[in-house]
Order: sequence, then C-alpha cells, then structure tokens
Amino acid sequence: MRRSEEKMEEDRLLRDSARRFFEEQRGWSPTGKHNGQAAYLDMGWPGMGLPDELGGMGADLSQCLMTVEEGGRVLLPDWLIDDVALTAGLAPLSGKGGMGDLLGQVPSGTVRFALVTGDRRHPPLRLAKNGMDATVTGRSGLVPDALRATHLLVCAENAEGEAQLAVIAVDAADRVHREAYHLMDGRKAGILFFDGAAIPAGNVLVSGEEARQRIAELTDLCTAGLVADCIGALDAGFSATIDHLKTRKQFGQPLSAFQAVQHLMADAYCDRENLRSLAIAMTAAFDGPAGERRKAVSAAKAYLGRNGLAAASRCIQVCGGIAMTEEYFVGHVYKRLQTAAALFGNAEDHLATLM
Amino acid sequence: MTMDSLFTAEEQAFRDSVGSALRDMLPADLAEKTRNSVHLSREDMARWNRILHGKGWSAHHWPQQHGGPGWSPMERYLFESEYANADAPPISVFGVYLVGPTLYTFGSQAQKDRYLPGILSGDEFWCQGYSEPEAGSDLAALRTTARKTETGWVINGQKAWTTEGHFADLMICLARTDSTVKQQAGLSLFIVPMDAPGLKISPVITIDGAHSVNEVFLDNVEVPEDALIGEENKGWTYAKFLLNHERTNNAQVHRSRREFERLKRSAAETLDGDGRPLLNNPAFRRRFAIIEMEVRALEATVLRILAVQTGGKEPGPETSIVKVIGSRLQQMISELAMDVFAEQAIAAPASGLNAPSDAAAWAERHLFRRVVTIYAGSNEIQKTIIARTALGL
Repeated sequence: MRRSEEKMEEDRLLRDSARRFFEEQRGWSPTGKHNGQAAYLDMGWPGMGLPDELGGMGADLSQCLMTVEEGGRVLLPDWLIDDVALTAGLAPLSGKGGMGDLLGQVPSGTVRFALVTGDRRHPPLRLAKNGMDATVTGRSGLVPDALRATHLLVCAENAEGEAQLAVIAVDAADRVHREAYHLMDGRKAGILFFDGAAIPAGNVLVSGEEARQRIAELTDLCTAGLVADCIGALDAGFSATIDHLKTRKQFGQPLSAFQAVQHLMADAYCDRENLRSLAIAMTAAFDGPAGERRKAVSAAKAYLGRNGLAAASRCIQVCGGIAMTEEYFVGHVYKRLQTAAALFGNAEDHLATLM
Repeated sequence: MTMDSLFTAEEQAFRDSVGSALRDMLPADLAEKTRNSVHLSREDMARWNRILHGKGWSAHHWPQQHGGPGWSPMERYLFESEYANADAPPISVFGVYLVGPTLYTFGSQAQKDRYLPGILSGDEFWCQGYSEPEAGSDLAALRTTARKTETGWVINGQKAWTTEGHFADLMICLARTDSTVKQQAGLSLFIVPMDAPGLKISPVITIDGAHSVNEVFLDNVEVPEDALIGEENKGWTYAKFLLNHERTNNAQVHRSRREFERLKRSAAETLDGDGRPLLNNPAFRRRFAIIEMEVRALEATVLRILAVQTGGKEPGPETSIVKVIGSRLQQMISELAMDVFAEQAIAAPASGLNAPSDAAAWAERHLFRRVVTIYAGSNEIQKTIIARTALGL
C-alpha cells in the first residue's frame, strides 16, 4: 500500500504519459468513434509487466493496473485487461511446453493472449489427454479479447476434475468455433466452442494443483484489470457530471446548488473512493497468500458491481435526461460498468466467495 | 485483521507484541463488560485507564513529548485493531481525544502542566460543552456567553447532549465572547470545573434506556482568567482543527470488525427453522457477505488515509468520507444482529432477572447506534462538506 518515493515518481511519469496518450490519440467522442486510432503498441504497454529478459518493462502490478485505468478513462475499445493485466502473470509459464518463446512476442503485439474460462452456468471445459495428443471440449464463457487473440489460454478440467491449463494457437486450431458478440458497452467479445479440438499434449502447460493455482491467479488478474478499467471510467464520468452540475441551470440556479443533488453526489463519491481503496488493497494482495488475494479481488469486484454501478447510476440521475442520450459520455460510463459487472463473475458470485 | 499483505513484517511483529501485552493487561471482568454493555461506569474506565497509563499507552496517539508513545499512524492503527480484538473497554474519549490535543496544541504551559497528567492517568474526567438546545448541527449559532470581568469570566447558558457530564470533573466549553462579529469569529474555549457554583446538571435518558448524556445549565458560573484556552475568539478555529485531526477515529473500523466477527460466531451457533446454522442460511450468508465487503472497504479507505499520513502529507478529501461510511456500517452490523437474535433481542424476562446476554447487549447497542449518524457532525452535514470540499459543488 505504501510506495517508495522512487516508485511514486515512476508512477507519476507513467500515469501522465498514459493519460496524455489516451486523451490525445484515443479520446472519446460523442460520435462513438474515438478521435484517433493510434495503436498503443509503441508505448510498450502490452506485456509491460513481463520482466526485461522477456521484452517487458518489468512494471509492477500497480503500474500495469494504472495503465489499464487510464484506458478506462477514455472508454478505450481495446481490452487492456488481456494485453496488460493478464500478461503480468504469465512469466512463470515462460518456456513451459507449448509456450516456447511466445511471451517474447507479446510486447510487439505479434502474440495476443486471451484467457478462456468456462461459463459459470455451464459445465466446465473438458481436456482429455490421449498419449501425445489432448482434446478440448465444451463452451467457454464470454471471453473479452477472444476475437483479436492469437493464442488462447484455456482453463479446463480433466475427467477426474483436475485443473488443466493449455495454450492453443488460434490459427492452428481445428474444431474450434468463435462466436462473436457485441457487448452492452459497445466492445466486442466472443464465446468459444471446442468440439474435440486436438492439440499436442505439450500444449498443456500445467496440470492439477499447480494449474488450479495458476488459473486462479490469471483469472484474478483479469478481474483486477476490469476493476481498474472501471475506476478510470467512473472517475471520468464523475468529472463530466460535476462539470454539468456547475453549468446546467434550473429554477435560476446551477444544479450544483441543490442539496438533494449534492448529497446524491456525496454518496456516489463515498462509493467511488471506497472502490479505489479496495482496488489498492486488491493490488497489494497479489503479493500475499492466494486465499486472501481471492477475497480481496472478490471484495473489489463485488463492490464494483453494487456500489460502483450505483455511483454511475447516480451520475445519470443528477445529470438528468441528457445522460440518457447516446451522445452523452455519462451513459456510456454506466454501460462500461454494467458490462464489467457481469464479466468474470458478477457481484453475487463474488459475494459468495467472501463468506 | 485480514489484510496481512498490507503490512510489513515489522508492523506485523509490532501488532503481535502490543496484542499479547494488551491481553495480558486486561482484567477478564472488564473484557466481559465491554462485550455486554454499551456505557461503562467511571470506575471501570478509570481502572483500565490506570492500567494503560502504567504501560504508557493511555493516550496512544499523542506525541512522546506530551506523554504518548509517539507511534506512527500505522502503529496506532495496529494498536487500535488489537485493542478492539482484545475487547478492551473504550476509555473516555473527551480527555484523550478532544481536550489533550487541544491543550498541547493551543494551551498555555500552565494549562498543560495542570491538566495533561490527569488525562493521561485517568484521574480526571472531561466532558464536552459544545452543543446547545438551539445549536445542534448549526453549532456556530450557540448562545452561551462568557463575559469578561476584573478577575476572569462569567459564563451563562445551557449545554445539551453532554456525554459523561454526570461523572466528569471538568468541561471544555465553547462560549460566545463577541456577539458583534460573524458567528464563528466570536467564540472562545474555556475550562469549567463541573463543581463550580451555578453549574447544574440534569440527566437525559436515551432510547436505549440508559443515562449517558445530560443537560448542563450555567448560571453566572465564574471561572478565572486562565480558564481561557489559547486566544479569545479563536474557539471555532481550535474546534475545527481538532475535527480534521482525528477524523479517522470516527470510522470505528476496528470495533466494527470485531463486532462483525463476534456476530458471525453467534450466527454459526444459532439454528434456523430447518435446523441449520443461520450462517449457512443463504439469506443470512449473503447479508454477512455484503457487510464483509463493506468492512473491507472501510478498512482499505482508513489504511489509504494512514498511508498518506505516513508519507508526511495531509490526507485529501477522502478523509471526510470515513465518518459517513463508518457510522452507516456500525448501524448495518447492529441491524443484522437484530435479525440474527430475532425475538430474543426484543424481549427481556418480566421477572426482572435480567442476566446479561448477547441478545440484550446487541439490542441496547442497536438502539444507541441510531446516534452515530447524528453525532460528531450529522451525516447530512458531512455530505454537504463532501460536496463542497471534495467535489467543489
């Protein structure tokens, strides 16, 4: 939770450059199109959490999540949660079987990973090994970056219910079907259907307890990425709302002069700040034992789905009708949060892990 | 405490050592009373205060030069956490939290020498004379006056909601010394002995059936010249300084965590209609999970503020939210307790043989807890402050 002066200076530089880049190159506009389409590859952010020897920047998780957060401020259509948050946890898989030197190709954008987990309301993905081969069967949940990914990190179970983590190159995959979806917030995602997809057994990177732990950590990283993204979005939504309250006049006064409005925003502010606090605790928990990390992530994700979303909803309420329009930023913030609230387990799922 | 990864190894060692010392020092009957009652007697508080004082911990947040242990913000947090976990009784807040820091920051050397030792030892108890019948949330509208005489001051007026006034030795009293200027600019702080001629006190019984607050009448109460704290007409500034200084105390984060864990144990021991522990009943489980989430949020926000203070900076507007969320959380916990104990919580034996019970203690606490969103600046006042200072509305 406490960072050295040196780290804080690094953080400041990183945040400033990310904010400037996103605002100038990818700023949100009411037309639904972002101002520019400049890629963030040149900024070195994909795989920034990987160590230097794998081509990363050696950024710590806090810095990775800060970058994701800055993308959230402009409602970036790209999924930084995979490029930045997920990849921060991949170093331990380096060199394992089918991973080869894939990680080294992340920073250039040549390789993009997506974490493929089962759908919580369907049976888990199945992976069966037969000698030199393995086959994957089943239906995934919504996979945020499914459509752009070059490589899928598939979280499955074998017939005995033991966890298996396998890597599948999308190009080489046979009997894998990707179904594209438009999400509520305007982003794209996919569901993967594996119909006995055959992969070399070496592509099963880890199995059993080790796989269970690795999958839990990678899932937590993606969830943490979603939380960070929403903190950025909510912050930006807040600023837009406050600007509106100071300029919009009714009954001869700016809306900001009305106590009912002030108190709604004070409640929303408490929720927003608590969410940020929980995210800081969540980030720190990645350095601790897995059980507590899980709870810290769940607390933040559940809080996002309940109080974070409620705060975004209050922003719409105080802005009034204008926030109901497609042209207005604040409604899009709400959709961003509502979308995130449903991904990687909703508030009810995460509340269940808290007890 | 659940979030070990937020603390360094040294901090965890500090926590363990103060925790075991506290458990060794604390008499079992006082821990029992802390669990079973809301208001402690002066004798009980003084007894525990003396024990703490023996260890140099009675004013744990004071700097060393005034008799505190000189702990860092994080060490104080960990001490408070262990303090709550041990079921150590809260000591009277007015001396330690309000008067002490006011005197060592703004008081004269003579005032420090005279009053700080009694606060540290617990031999002298204080109460707070701020609110009045016509000045609640609008404190600056208070009407009690202090008029200068040849030898000192004469105070006239009425104070309300004076907690522990019936057993306090001294009062820190906010009174108007200039009625010709803007309300806030004409107030001064005084030290008033509770046995001064002309001071009368009468009890106010609150909805929990207990006597903890009072009305205080001041009828030509004479105090000497040196009863004035700091400068004349600076009382409002001093009072405000203190509110900002100790706001995280209002979060009551450790007591909430402790009470929540105890309530969880009670819910594990209580069966629902299907013979299943309440804690495993899905409806209750979900409510416990929501509060777990809220407690974690409060802990994380308080720690975030402390991390800023540790870095030597003044925390920003996030400080103002802990009163709002901390008080609401205290109420959420006692509301859940009412549902856990159900009929047990609302019925006392007509025989009058009222053995202390968890249910009775929760009922009392639950009723008294209605006050936490009202006192120390009502939550509506806090929200207006948040809107103005944090959001610039």
